[in-house]
Amino acid sequence: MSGAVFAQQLVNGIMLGGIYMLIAVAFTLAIGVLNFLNFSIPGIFMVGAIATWRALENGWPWVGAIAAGLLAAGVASYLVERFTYRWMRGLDHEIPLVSSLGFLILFENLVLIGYGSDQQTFPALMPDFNIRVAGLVIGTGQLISLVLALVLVIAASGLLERTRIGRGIRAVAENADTATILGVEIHRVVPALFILIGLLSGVSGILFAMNYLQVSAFMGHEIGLKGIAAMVIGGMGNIWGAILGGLLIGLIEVLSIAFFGANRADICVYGALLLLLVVRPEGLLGGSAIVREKL
Amino acid sequence: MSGYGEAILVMLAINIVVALAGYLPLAAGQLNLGIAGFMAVGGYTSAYLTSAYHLPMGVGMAAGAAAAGLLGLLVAVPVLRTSGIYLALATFALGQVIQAAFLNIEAVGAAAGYPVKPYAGFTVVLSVAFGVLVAVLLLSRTRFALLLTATKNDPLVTELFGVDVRAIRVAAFSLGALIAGIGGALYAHHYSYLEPQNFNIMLSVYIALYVLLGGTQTVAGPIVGAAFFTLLPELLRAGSHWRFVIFAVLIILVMAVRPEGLITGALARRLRFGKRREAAS
Amino acid sequence: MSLLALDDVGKNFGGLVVVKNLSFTVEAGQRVALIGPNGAGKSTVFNLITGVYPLTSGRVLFDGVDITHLPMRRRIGLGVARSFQNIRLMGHLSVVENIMLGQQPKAGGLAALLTPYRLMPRHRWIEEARAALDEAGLGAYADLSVDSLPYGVRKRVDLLRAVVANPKMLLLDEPAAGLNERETEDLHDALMAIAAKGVTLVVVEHDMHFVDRLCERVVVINFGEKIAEGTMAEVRASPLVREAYLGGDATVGAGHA
Repeated sequence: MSGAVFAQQLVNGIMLGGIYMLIAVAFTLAIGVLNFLNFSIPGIFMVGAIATWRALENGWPWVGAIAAGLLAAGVASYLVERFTYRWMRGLDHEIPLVSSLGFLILFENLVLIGYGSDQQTFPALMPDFNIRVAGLVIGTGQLISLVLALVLVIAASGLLERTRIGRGIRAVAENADTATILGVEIHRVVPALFILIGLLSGVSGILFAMNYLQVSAFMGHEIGLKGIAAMVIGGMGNIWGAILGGLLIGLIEVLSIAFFGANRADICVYGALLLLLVVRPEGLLGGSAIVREKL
Repeated sequence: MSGYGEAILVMLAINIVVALAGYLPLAAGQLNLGIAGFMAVGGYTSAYLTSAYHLPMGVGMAAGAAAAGLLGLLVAVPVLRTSGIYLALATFALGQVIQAAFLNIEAVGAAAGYPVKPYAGFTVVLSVAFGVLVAVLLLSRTRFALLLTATKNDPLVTELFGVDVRAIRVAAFSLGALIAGIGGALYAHHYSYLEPQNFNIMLSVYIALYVLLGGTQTVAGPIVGAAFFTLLPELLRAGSHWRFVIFAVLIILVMAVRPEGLITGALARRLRFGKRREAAS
Repeated sequence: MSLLALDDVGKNFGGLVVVKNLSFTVEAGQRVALIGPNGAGKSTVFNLITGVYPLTSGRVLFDGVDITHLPMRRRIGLGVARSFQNIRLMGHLSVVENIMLGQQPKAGGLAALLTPYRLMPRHRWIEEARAALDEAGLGAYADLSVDSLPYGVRKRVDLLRAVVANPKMLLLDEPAAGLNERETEDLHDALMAIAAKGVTLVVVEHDMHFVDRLCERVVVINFGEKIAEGTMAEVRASPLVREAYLGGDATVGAGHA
């Protein structure tokens, strides 16, 4: 592989990583604050994209359609909170995980019943246009996605740092009981966090649809599962880890396709995840994963 | 029996076998999200040995089970160093790697799929499933089962009472993998065709979900869960997507109001107690 | 030779020193109390003896064996059993099954592990566990779920589970906490009966009246260091102990601390 081709692959990997990044941040917020592996996120990703597509089909303008997609994703995520986390604080960590899988199946099959299992064509917002920089081809859509993803992640991180609700979320992440004692209204903070998670997932679904120009009931699977891998590799609960993990997974995928072929990419991506979980479960940027329990 | 009835029973039998595969690690508190991967190893191993080397089907299935169990043992040792969410994630990753690996193994058809020759009919599938069920029931009457539950409840205290908790977990995980291998072999020889896509993450997810729906404290739990999952859509005569919608809603509701599943140990004890009291009076 | 000897034991959590230069011994058959203000490190000492935490420095000897680096599951086999401050029974097991966990050190081996005892009526494990429950006056609860029991009963099951393991030494973490006067009295009698069989008792307890009646010797620690040792009367006379308690939350000898 020549240097130029390799450089192009690096660029492609980073662009792909931008898509994984947003989903990984959504996962990492749920894990980091609530210790909740929220498997409904790929479903919410899909709900956001499908709702936008439906609105566009009905002749809505772009702004309205995107707003509809975000609203649908936020509501879906709120529903997940209402029926999983709210009931199960203090129970086995597996219980909300299981319910969130239930929601994934629910969302996907409702969409299948409504619109079938075919890939639906998503209209193009902008003409396909590539920029060439120093011999590298960069898709405009992808570049916008990457920049938007970074902006959103930084905004979300700022939200957590600066706002009242963000401080509440961080307090809950430290210790839910102490946060309650300190006057954090957990019944407002947690739903707010879920809505944030839903919006991030929804944006990411809509961006994906704009880039790949199609939507389907199962569109969240591959992206969502790789988002999980990205989150773990970066370090669960760490927003910057999710960004790093997203980029790394994007790079691993693109480079393994280039070197070993498309059929082997999943072996490399999930093999990397498995290896990391065995040798460094806390992830690249995470703290210690092994907390000894107190008697 | 009608062909339809037989088809349902075969599906139920295979679902019960793989439910038991998911149940064993869950009884020790480990969520295995890679069961489909172990099914694939069992199915492909048996299919390959019987097709390429003309081994008898029984030998093929035994080898498939052994291969899945051995792989389970090999990965359990490093993977079970982690627990909780990390373990669920590691098994998920493992299932993905196994599925992707079979996409690339030309000897068993890679992405194109692999026809399986010796056919396992109704009687064979039901007998093997029955054998697995009896074995697991026997196991559930032993101290090993007691230690599985203790490990799930409180691993630290269990360890303090002299139990090698890690060994118990590795054993439960590997036995589950072995049983998943048997389930995969039954699937392969009954449906006569294997594709890597059959063994995707959603299959693992469904298995884990119906075991949890039934409950992980008694062997009755996974059986009820598998029966529920297999028979409900038939009873409802609903379209295939509606069955998943109903199943998903049930999962969400059951986890909300009865997170330990439909059948709990306390319920089983109460039933047994009631029987004893009736017998006494 | 002492049954238990802590030799210059230290434990840090991160930068926090929880136990420092701690040495004391317990003779076989003795009833010893480990007391000190809240946060003095008493439970940590139990966790160091049972291997829940690794030591930062020093050694622990039990029955002549250096157990400093012994995995925690091996210690019960040597004769170290414990009960728990916040009762830790197995909620998914019945009372009799919880007691059977206490038999584990005696029921080793693969054959024992795979015997389908529940299909064998009157298997000796079940019989022994039921007998132990009957003897402790808990027979009526044998087949109930642990979670359905009142606090005092759960506390007794937690203790019995440790006793069934036939330990040489029993570590009891606040055995009287949360018990009413009658239950405390019954506990005292039960522990004296256990000690009469030759079991060494080491007790962490806040109820000084209870400690005074049960234990022959007292070790006082504060901020992870031993500040006094001897009979209750000797310890009470120590100015260091008075200072620790007056600055703390209780007065030694005030009955309930």
